[in-house]
Amino acid sequence: MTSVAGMRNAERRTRTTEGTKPFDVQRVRADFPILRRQVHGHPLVYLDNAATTQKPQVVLDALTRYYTDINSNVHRGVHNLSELATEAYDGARTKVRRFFNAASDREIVFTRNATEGINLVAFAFIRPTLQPGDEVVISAMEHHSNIVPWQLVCEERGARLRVLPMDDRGELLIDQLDALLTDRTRIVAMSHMSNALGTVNPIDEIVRIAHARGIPVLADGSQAAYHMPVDVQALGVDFYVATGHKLYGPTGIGVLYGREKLLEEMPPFLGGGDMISSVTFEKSTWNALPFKFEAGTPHIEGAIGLGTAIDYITGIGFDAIGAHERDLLEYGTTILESVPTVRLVGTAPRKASILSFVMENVHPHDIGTIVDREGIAIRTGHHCAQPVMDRFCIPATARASLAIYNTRAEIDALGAALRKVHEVFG
Amino acid sequence: MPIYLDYHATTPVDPRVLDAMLPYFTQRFGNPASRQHSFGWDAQKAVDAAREQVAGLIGASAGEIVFTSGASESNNLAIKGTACALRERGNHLITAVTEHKSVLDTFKRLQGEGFDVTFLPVDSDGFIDLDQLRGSLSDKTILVSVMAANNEIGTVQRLNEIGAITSARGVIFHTDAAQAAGKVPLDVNAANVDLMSLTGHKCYGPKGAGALFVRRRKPKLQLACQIDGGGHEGGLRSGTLNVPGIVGLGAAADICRSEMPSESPRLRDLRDRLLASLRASLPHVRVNGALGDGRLPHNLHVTFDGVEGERLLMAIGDLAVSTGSACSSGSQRASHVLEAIGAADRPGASIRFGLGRWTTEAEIDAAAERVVKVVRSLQVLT
Amino acid sequence: MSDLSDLYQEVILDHNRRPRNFRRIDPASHHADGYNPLCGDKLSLTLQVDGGSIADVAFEGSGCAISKASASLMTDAVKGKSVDEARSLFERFHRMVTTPPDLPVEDMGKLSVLAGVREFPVRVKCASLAWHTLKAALDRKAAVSTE
Repeated sequence: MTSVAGMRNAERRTRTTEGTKPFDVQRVRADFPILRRQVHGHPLVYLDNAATTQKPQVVLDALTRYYTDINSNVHRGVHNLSELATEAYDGARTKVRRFFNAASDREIVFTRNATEGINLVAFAFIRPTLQPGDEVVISAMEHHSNIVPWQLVCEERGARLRVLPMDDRGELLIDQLDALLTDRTRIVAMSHMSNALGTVNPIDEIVRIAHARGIPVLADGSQAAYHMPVDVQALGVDFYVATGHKLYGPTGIGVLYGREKLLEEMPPFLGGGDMISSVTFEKSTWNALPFKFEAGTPHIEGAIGLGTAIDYITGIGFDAIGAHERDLLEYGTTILESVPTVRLVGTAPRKASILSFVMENVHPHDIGTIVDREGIAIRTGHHCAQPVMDRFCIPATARASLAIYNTRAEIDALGAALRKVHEVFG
Repeated sequence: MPIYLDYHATTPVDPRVLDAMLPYFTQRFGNPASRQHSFGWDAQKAVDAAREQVAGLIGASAGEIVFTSGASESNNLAIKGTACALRERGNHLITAVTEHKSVLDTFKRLQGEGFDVTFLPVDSDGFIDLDQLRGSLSDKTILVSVMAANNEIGTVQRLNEIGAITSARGVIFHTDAAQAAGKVPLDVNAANVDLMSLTGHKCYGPKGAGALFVRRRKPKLQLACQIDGGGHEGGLRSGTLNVPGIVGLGAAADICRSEMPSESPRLRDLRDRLLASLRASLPHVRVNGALGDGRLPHNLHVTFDGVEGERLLMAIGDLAVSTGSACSSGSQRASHVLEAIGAADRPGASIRFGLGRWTTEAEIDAAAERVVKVVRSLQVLT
Repeated sequence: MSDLSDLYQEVILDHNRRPRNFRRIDPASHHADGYNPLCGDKLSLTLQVDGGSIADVAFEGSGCAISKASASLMTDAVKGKSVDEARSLFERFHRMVTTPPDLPVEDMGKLSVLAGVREFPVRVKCASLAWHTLKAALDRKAAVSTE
């Protein structure tokens, strides 16, 4: 039975809280076909964006168009299709370069994901010269992907992994960073934004402190890149990684930004086609940047899809995205705090789009199951950040993470579902 | 024979409803509170059946229906009952400016007793702004009361969205569904409604019979009773049950539920025909309220420019409609609803048409013709 | 919502709130740790087996309501049973929670309250964790993971 009000489509328009340009969330929602589906008889409320975001129709169309119109291999053939594919693939790189404001396309390496980008830096930049007693500095709020690659190279070479702690709100203790750095520190690798807590870290400040000692910095932008404008030159980072599937783009495509000078000095990460300029059985010479780091046939349609996704995001603009998501975060915080026994985990003053929480006497997994039956998708577990859970002495959290297409009505639905959880377990 | 197009004011009792009621005035006259003999049991059975029927109309369970004398009493019980029971938790109440007087006046009384009441404005179609509602909620808010459909301009509020907002904050949601029940689908669970007022005489049942839906599960609602006495109706409303009226209310609800799928589109088509006829012959017919799904199918509320209200009413003769507002007709003042949607400051006369179960196409055409003639003559005069 | 209340029946909520045999037997004749990486459920099972029969059984750990209630119900069910009976219970329980939801299942008394997890495929591991840990303990394996 549909009820009266269900016939109407409420919340046609939400105004941005600043400026006068209206941001029409319903129009944005119409761009994402999956948001029209139902789950367990309820409209889908997708609040697991930190895991992956949904894809707008334009991205799906770009993928299809690639295969229906121009599919062929890049940087090889002299035929027309190969030229078109190469143009589209390299064009996508230019879009990425502009999106992150890198100085040159040569600084943009396509990877499979952010994890691969970090591994590339760990294995091609750090490992070749890593000495016993050297140190790598990360933070207490890292995703496993920014812990394990460093552990691998450190263990192999007898180097040490050192961790910058955070406070009870989930804010890094930046004033302890300088003391943590030594002349053995080889790199500082930190997330721009925490996937488990939502904290936005002051990468520019971290860079300033590290660079004062001549230490390079890698920032993991997996979470930050779809919530806020990223300018790698303004941040001053030496490496920046991001992943396409969180930027409303396809899976299997990621980005590594590297300062050209550093990328030039680095040996290749993987060997194969496309990354060489000449091969004999005695010796191969490496191709120019960024192809040196793109061995084998790349994820062509992934890169093109990512380029389209970036166009889509840029079309909306981070002013509007930021205002909308800040409004949702603020509203979500109010709603969640009003539910009995809910406690937010991660309350740093600078945070974005993530509502991580626990409920007294209810395991997050049970929360996830109950809200799922209301059609609401949230993540429950350790979010691939077990050290963060250990820091807060909890086994797991439930996490609602927001994106451009979410609405206050969806937050309302989450709040109501959490009250149900409270009733079941209360 | 006058044409009756004032079904928002009241409806005739459906003959099938009357048939169901009649035995309970005479042979089956028992008091359901008489637990010791078959007369009482018989009456109890009839009341139980009616409870099921009323519950069925709004997706509730029988145990959640409290019988009252009508929507005004239900509104009083819901609002005062909640305010009184939850006073410890907070003293903030929210309602809308376009509510029925029985809601507005109840809130005004509570205001006098120290409650803080927010009266939400509405937009030009009569809808409350959901973000404004969100912004008005605080830790002190205990109740939101927003009508399901407006009695003048027929605006059907977005109950599901309102209910989602209140349930996210654990605030009680009451809705006065006197005009909506039986006319558009209502589902108290889908809309997260905690309290819903109903009445018989707007849906072809008898006058003097109404009900209040009171959520009993998840969460069970606390309500302070407003009529003390024998502890009838789960202690929420004392007084010997109006068995014939209740049976009639039940029968009326049942007929509405089963006939709504065909009756609502029929009325909507007639209403659209009426509007089309008026617009075809008259310039500047302004529709007050929303069009489409946001309006009751049997409601039309229009303003004619350059016509004086009182003169229109007098000239319209044997067409039974309301002008201005039902509750303030006879006065020159525009209704609080028209004021709220910003339609009051425009000169002209307003008519509310309420179509119903016995409205025919011929009546609609005759009514349209009549109105067109009168408006034309009055417009010429002025 | 009816399937949700199948999953979170009063018995399960009660065993979650007040788990039975929630302690450690020390020294114990058998012991195993169970881990469900999906939700981070961890439980440590200790048993005292005398002459082929389970004289005492207890568990500790943290986890979701389903895994905790299942462990609690299991300890009640196998206490006093022979090792062979416990193994057969494991088989029957395993069959019950892995039978497709539209097919009938054997009535396992109190343990039947967990048949509701069949509607929630990702939660079957939660219900099974304690039982896999029991089997590992009886097989004298130190640890088990449901991954």
